[in-house]
Amino acid sequence: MIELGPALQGAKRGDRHAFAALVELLHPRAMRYATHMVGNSEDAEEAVQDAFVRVYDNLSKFRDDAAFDPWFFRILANRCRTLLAKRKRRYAVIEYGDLPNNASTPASTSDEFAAEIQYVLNQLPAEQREAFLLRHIEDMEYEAIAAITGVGLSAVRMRVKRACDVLRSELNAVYMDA
Amino acid sequence: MMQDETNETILRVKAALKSLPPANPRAVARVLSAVHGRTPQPTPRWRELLDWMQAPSFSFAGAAGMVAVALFAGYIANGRLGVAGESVPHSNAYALARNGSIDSSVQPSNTVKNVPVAAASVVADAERVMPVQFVFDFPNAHTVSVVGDFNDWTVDQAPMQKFANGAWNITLPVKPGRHVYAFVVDGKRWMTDPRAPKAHDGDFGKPGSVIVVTTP
Repeated sequence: MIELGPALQGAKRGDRHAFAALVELLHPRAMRYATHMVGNSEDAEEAVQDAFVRVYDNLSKFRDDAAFDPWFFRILANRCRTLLAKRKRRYAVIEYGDLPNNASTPASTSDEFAAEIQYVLNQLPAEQREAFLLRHIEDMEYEAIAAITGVGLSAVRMRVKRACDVLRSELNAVYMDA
Repeated sequence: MMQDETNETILRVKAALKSLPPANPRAVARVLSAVHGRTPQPTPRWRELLDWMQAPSFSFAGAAGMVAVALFAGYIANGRLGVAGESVPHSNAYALARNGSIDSSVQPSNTVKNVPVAAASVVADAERVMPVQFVFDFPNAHTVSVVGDFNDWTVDQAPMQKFANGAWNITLPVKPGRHVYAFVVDGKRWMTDPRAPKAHDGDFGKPGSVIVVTTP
């Protein structure tokens, strides 16, 4: 877990250098979440930038005794949802027989697996993808996810479970049964 | 639920998705550019009051005491405790509070003129220091310190702390004005700040960067 304390407190006081440090600390995590959520890095960067602008505007309202992660990810998740609703998602589809000339050098197995995961993630309903990423990639408690998404605990658990079920069945079909 | 969290496929998915993207200084710069010139929304009064009441140091007895003192002061200011027939005019009580001296002839308009606000702030600006945070990306360094005209270019006076992401960080008190500084990596390698303009008047003939510290 990254220590945000000094940067967060400075940014709350209006120190621009501290806000810059806060952005530098959070940016990789924010991009990881947003990229997996919206499916491509260009849209993810737009969502992340929008989220940081809102954080900057509203940081004075953030309470010192509250956890920063759920507050930040609620803003970021909202920006991702808005972006998904606003834009038609763009997927790169590679058909068999449409391979590039240099395809004789296959991508690494881990790259293939990551691409397959992202493909399956993109097929999930956005609320299941969101719940899965917050739980299993950002390591958040179900209570925090409920606060971020605005739904009840049981609904969050169900979304995570359904996302896991789909990932397990789709990826097992490709890799485990081969 | 435990099955989901320990299932081999899910564990592989977690491992594959956990890796963080590399730091992207350009994207960070775009974020900072987007907020440049924006004014954060001030903390609402009710929030300040709520935060104060929820602070660990808050006690209802203390708050009640403060309210009592405030009421008592207001009672005096309104002349309720003055000798009969010598009640203090409201405007003079205001002058007492602002100037710290008793002058029954001072009217509210004069009171404001008597406070040398501009001169006081000029003196304060010249003497005050501002907290300035320096951040430097150099994950492979063993030590990094900041040197500059504000610490007489002393290499070991401002050692930076390393964040988990490999960036080095320190906040130093710096007087307002233009300053030249540099980062010293592993005690011997002087480097400029890639985020700041380069100084053409660097001391010691070493590379330097420029920062202009202003007061809010």
